[in-house]
Amino acid sequence: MMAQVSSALIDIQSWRGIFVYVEMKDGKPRDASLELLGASHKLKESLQEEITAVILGKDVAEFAKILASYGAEKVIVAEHDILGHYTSDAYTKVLSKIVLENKPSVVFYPATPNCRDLASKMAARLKTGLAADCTDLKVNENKQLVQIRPDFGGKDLSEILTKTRPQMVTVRPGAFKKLQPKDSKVKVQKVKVDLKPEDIRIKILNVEKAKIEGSDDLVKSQVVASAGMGFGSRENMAIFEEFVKAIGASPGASRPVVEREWMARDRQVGQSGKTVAPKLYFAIGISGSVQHRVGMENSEFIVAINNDPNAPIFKFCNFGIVGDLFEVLPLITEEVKKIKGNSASS
Amino acid sequence: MVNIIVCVKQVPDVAELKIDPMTHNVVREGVPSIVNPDDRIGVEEALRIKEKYGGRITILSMGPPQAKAALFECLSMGTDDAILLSDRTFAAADTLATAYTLARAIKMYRNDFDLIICGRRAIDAETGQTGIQIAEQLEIPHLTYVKSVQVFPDGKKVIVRREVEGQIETIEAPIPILLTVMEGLNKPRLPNLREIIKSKKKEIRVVNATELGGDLSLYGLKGSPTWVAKVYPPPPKPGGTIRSGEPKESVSELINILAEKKLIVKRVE
Repeated sequence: MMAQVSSALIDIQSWRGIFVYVEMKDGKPRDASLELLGASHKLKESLQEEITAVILGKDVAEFAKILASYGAEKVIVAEHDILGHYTSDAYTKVLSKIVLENKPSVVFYPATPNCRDLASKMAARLKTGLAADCTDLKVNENKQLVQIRPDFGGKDLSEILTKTRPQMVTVRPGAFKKLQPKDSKVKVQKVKVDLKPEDIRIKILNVEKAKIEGSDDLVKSQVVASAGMGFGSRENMAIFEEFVKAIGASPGASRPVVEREWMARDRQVGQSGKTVAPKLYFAIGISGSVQHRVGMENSEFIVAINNDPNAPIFKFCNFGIVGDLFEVLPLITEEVKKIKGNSASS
Repeated sequence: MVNIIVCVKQVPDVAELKIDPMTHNVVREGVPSIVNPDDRIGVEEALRIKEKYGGRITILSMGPPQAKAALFECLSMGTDDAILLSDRTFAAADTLATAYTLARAIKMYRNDFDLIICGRRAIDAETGQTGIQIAEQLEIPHLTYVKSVQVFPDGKKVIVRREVEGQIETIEAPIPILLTVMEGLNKPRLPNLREIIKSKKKEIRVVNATELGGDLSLYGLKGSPTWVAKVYPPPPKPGGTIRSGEPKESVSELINILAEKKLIVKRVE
C-alpha cells in the first residue's frame, strides 16, 4: 500500500496557477469545462495566477484556439491514441504527470461522471484533497480556495478548505457561466505522452449507445411536468395527461407516484430517478421533498401547484399557485391551448 | 469461489431530515439511520455472485458503535461476517482518510479478496469518491457506474457493463478489482427470518485505531487534506411569487409570465 504524505510537508507557496481540466464530449470540449474557464477568470481577480486549460485525447490540439477564446491563457495538450477513449488508468497516469510537473495551486474538473471518476483517482494518487460537486467558489483572505457545496441534498451548504496542494475540486455543470468568446493569443504546450497498452489494466471490449428508454426525452426536454401524490389516484391522472399534451412537456413523476405504478418507473424525477434541468418545470401536486428537489432544482423556471401552502416546494419555485390542482390545472391547460392555437387536436 | 468485501456506510435517512424553522439548520436528532441505499445494492450484488460461484462476503464499515445496526442488517441479508472500524481517531475523516483507513483494514484482515464492491455514493455527503480512492490506495483497478457484473468461470476475470452518459461500455477486467454500483443494478432483498436468526451467531468484529495500527496521524480529521470550515443553510431562492387567491387570476398571471419569458410560444407547424 502506498504511504501517505503528511500535509505539513507541502510547501504551499511553490504551487501556482489555475488548471482547468477539459473534458471532450461528442468531439469537442464540453461546455462544463468552458464554464470553469469562466469561473477561473472570476477567481483570478483575487488569485492573480495564470489560467491553463489541460486537454487530453486523440487529435485534440486543434481545440486550443477555442479554449483560448473562452479564457485559457495557456493550453497544455496531451495526445495519444490510447487517450481516444476514457479510462481511469490512462488518464490518471498522463494527467498526474502534467500536474506534478507544473504544480498548479488549483485543479478544476467539471463534475461529470467520468471527471468525478478521474478526479477521485487523481486526488488519491497525489494525496491531496478533493471537494466534490461544488456549486460555488471563492478565494479567502489567505488566498485559499473556498469550495462551497450542498450537503444532505441541498439542506445545508458547506465551505471546504484544502490543506494540501493542489486544491482539487469538481464543479457542478451550470454553476458558472462561460465567457463571451473572443479571439485571443495563447501559449500551447504539447507534452510527450508515455503510454503503453499494458498501462491500462482493464480492456474495453465494446462501446454502444444505451438503449433509449422511453424516458430519454425527460432529460433532454425543454419543458417537463411532474405529477405527485396530489392527484390521489391513477384515474385522476387524465387531466395531467391532457395538460402535458397541450403544453408539449415530457411527463415526470415523484417517487410515490411511480411506486404506486400510476406512471412508469423510468419517469421518476429525483434522487433515485432522473435529474432534469429544463427551461420550464411544473411540479403538480408535489410537496417538494429533498429527494425530488435534487432532481429538478436546476430548472430555469419552476412552477408549483399544491393545495398545502406550507409545502416545501413553495420555498424554491419561481411561481407557485396554492390551490386545488383539479381546479387549477384544467384552467392552465385551457389557456395554453389558446396560445398554442390548439394544433394538438387538429 | 469469490471472496467479496462490501463497503457500507450507515447514513441518516435523508428523507426524514427536517430543517429547524428558527435556525434553518438541519436537525439530525431523532432521524433514523439506514444502510446507505447504493451500498445495499452492493450487498445484494455480492450475494448473487456468491450464490452462483460460492465464496465469502465480508461487510466492512467505518463509523460510531451504533453503526453495528447497519452491519447486522447486512448480515441478516445473508452475508458472512462484518468488520466495523470504530474509534474517535477515525472521526471527521474526508474521503482520502476514509479510503486510507478502509484500505488498511482490507490489507490487514481480508487481503485475499477478489472483489470489493462499494455503493456509487452515500446519500449524506454524496461525494462518490471513497470507493475509487480505496482502489487507488490498494493499487488495484476500479470501475464506476457498474450496471452488471459477470465473473469468469475461472474466477480470475470479470465482465462488467458500465453506463456513463448514455453509453454502455462492456469491459473485461482482472480480479482483484473494485466496483462501484448504483441504483438499477438489482433490487436488494429484505432480511429473512432464517438469516436474522443465523446472523445473531455471526461475528461483528469491532476494530479500534490502536489495533488497526499504522500512522495514527493519517486517520480521521488529522489525516484529511480537506476540512469543513463552515456549514450554513442555503440562502432562500429569491423572487418566488406565490398566489393563493382566485385560481383564474393566478393562472392568468402565470400564463402572462410564461408568455413574456417565451416559455410558451405559439406552435409553428
